[in-house]
Amino acid sequence: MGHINDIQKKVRIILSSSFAEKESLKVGDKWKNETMRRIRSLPPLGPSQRLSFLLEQLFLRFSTVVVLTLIIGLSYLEVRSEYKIHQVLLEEPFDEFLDGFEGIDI
Amino acid sequence: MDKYDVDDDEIIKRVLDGEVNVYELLLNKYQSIVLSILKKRLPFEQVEEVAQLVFIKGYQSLPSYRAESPFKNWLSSIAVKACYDFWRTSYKNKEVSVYSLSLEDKEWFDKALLEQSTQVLIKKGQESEAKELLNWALGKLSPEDKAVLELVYLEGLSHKEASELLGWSVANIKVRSFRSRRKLAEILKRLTL
Repeated sequence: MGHINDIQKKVRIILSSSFAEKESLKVGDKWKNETMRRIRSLPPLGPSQRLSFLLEQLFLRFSTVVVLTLIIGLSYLEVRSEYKIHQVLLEEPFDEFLDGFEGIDI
Repeated sequence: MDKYDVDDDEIIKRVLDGEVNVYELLLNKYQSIVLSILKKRLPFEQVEEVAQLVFIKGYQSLPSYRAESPFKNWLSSIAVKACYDFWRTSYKNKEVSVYSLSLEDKEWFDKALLEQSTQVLIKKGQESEAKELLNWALGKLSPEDKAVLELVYLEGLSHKEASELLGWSVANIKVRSFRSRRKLAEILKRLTL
C-alpha cells in the first residue's frame, strides 16, 4: 500500500472504510418470518392482479397524453363555441335581431 | 442440487402462478445483498423494518419485473430507493441530524489526517470515531445528496450504475455528485478549522 499526502484522498479512504464497516453489524432472522407472514396475508399475484397492474401501468404511462388531449379538446370546444356566437352575430347583426322584437313590449 | 441453484426466472414464474411460499427462496438468496445495502445507509434499529418493506415491495412489483436485468440488480434498486425514501420522510418530518460530534471526535479526525499509509487510514475508518464523523457529516446533507454521495463517492460506483439504482438520469447524478462532494468538503473544512 502506498503513502499519500493528499488530504481529500485521506478523507475519502477513512469515510469509505467507515461506510463499508457498517456492513459487519449482525441482524437477526426474525424479520424474515415476519416478512413471509405479511406476504402470505397479501392477495395472490393471480392473473387478475397482473391485469390490474398492467392497466395501472398503462394508465400511468398515458395519463399525461390523456390530460393534454382533454385540455386541448376543451379549449378547442371553447374557441369553437365563441366562434359560433361570433358567426351568428356577424350573419345576423344585433340590430336586425332586435327588429324581430318590433311591436312587442318587453 | 442446492435450493439456491434454482433459476430466478423459474422461481418468479412459480410465485406469479400463485406459489407464494416459493418467494422465500428469493428472500433467502438475496437477503445478504439487501441487508448490506440497508445496514450501510440506515440507523441500525430501522434495518429489519425496512428489509421487510423491500421484500414486500419486491413481491408486489414482481408482475413488472422484466428479466432484461438480473433480479439482484432489480431488488438492489428497490432497496436503495427504500433508503432514499426513508431519509426523505425523515427530512420532511425534520427528524434528521441527531448526530453530534464531541471534541474528542474532532481531535481524532485531525490526528487521523496526519497518517500517510493507506492501510492505516482504512483501519482508522473502522474505529467508532470515524462512524460518528460519517453519520454526522451525512446527516447534514439532503436525502438526494446523501443517496448519490453514498453510491458514487463512498462505494465507488459509476454515474451510470448509480443512475440505474436510483432511477435518475445520468446527468442528474453527475450534477448531484459534484454538488454533494463540494458540500461534504465544506462541512469537513469547517470541522478542521
